[in-house]
Amino acid sequence: MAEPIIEMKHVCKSFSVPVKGQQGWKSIFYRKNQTVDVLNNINFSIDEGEFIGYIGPNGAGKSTTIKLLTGILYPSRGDIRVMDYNPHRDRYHYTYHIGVVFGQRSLLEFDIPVMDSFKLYQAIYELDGRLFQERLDEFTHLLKLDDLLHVPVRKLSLGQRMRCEIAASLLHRPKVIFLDEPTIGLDALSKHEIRQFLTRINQEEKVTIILTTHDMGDIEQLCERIVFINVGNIVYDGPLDTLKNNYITHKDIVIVYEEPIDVPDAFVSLLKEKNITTYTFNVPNAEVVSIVPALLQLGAAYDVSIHEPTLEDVVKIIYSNHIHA
Amino acid sequence: MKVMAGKYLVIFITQMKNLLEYKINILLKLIRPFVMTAAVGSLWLVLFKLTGRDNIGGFTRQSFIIYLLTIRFIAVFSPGGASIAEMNEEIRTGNLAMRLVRPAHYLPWLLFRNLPVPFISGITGLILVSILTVLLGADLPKAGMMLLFVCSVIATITLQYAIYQGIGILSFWIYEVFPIERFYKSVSGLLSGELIPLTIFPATASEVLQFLPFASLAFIPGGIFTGVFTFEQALVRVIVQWTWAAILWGLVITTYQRGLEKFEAQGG
Repeated sequence: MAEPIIEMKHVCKSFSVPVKGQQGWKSIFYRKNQTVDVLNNINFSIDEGEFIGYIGPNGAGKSTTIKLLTGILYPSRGDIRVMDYNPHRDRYHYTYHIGVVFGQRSLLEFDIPVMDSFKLYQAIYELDGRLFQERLDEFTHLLKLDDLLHVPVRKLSLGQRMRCEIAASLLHRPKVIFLDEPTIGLDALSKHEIRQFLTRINQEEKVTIILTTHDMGDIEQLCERIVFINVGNIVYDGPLDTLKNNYITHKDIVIVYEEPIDVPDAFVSLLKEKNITTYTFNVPNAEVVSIVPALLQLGAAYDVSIHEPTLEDVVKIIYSNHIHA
Repeated sequence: MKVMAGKYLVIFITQMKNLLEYKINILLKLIRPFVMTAAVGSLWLVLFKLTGRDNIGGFTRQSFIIYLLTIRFIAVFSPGGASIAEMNEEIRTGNLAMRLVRPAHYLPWLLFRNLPVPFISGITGLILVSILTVLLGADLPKAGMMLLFVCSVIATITLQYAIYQGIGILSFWIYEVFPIERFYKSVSGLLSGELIPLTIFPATASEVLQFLPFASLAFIPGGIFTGVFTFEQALVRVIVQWTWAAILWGLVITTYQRGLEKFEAQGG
């Protein structure tokens, strides 16, 4: 059995933050600090070629995990290995093999054409001229960069810039890619193009990808496995389908009747929403097939549809369960 | 090693391209040091005239102007407050993260990003200072002394970068480092010989000050060029300069490593 490409064992991360409300002269020279635990005993391993969705609410510890995996932060406790490197200790050599995209930060030079930034990264990653050109041609085609290469970065739209950011991060053919909200703020078309591109390099080049995002569309379309983190703890690690099956216990049956109906007592508990002649019933999965005919008997209906909660809904359920736990 | 140097050279070239996008900014940066020199020089010329003396603190009117030109020429190589501002912002906002995930060391990266302005100013400054020195009829130092002068200038620049990067690195612990920079500039202006040659201070104070790192920033190279020191005195002072440079760079690198352990990479 192949060794995992990424391994986190018993990883904890805490930050020291000043205690609020310290005043007076003494506080200039001495500040009391308190320790805030951001990650608690994180364990997971990832195999080569996997596409992982690393999700969780704001402040859950997603970005901290990515920063630990990329060597930006030092763990307070525990071991991290990526491709046999210790990310923070071997950071210089390690970074030749990883690609990192932070959706909210830029690695392109703002005032000069995109191509100059690409050439900068060609030098930083010590890329051979021919290989660089091949890769650039490939990305120019896949990410439609033809018209962007000679435009100063400050003149690009967000979607155009993000395509260039992704290209700049992957020119050196990294084996592992960390994407922190790469589609944030993008329109539907730009998201689609980036998702297609990521799917392609994951499948064709067997690149391992870890994606953190709040966009459940990204997760549904790209990831087979989900790692769900909340308040610094992993609360789910497994296939996307299993996550859905565990949490999707009911479906919505929406029926539009020709005129308002009286809902019998037997179905009142299932009625979720009523809007003039549109009735939404929330029914356990196992009973959907048997209940639909009965509901259609309640009045003359001219439309019926069955809705499964989206991943977005599932995530909301998990967030609220854990927040209120 | 060659490839390693290559990547930092490309960082320098890229930053030069960035800089050339703002040509008026460059022009003003080129002019500013000479305006300041003219201001300080004028004050001293007035002082010579009012006192009626030919020699103040071992400097004649002519040697004083050459001294001022020399130290101003060296000062244009300073990375300046912009390098502190850049480091402060990258650490405070967490953007340093974007540098740390690339195979290039951050301190030399920043160093080469900050070289284009001194590079441009240095070349134009050298031309200007050479012309003025010839016009003023200054005696240039002899070969051995000139060699010590060059070593001294390189030590000064090395020391300046250590100090500026050191102040920037404090951003790992202190949110606002600019008051420290301003305090440093005030102290340095007084104790480095930038405004007043250290020979004007009382003899004991002058001796002590010449062995502090501040003197290395202006008085020592300026003094070597204008013949304040004998060859042996100059040699000792150049050794002192390099010792301070080594100590400060050691401190900078150690502090940077400690800072990285504390770095929180704020923001998403």
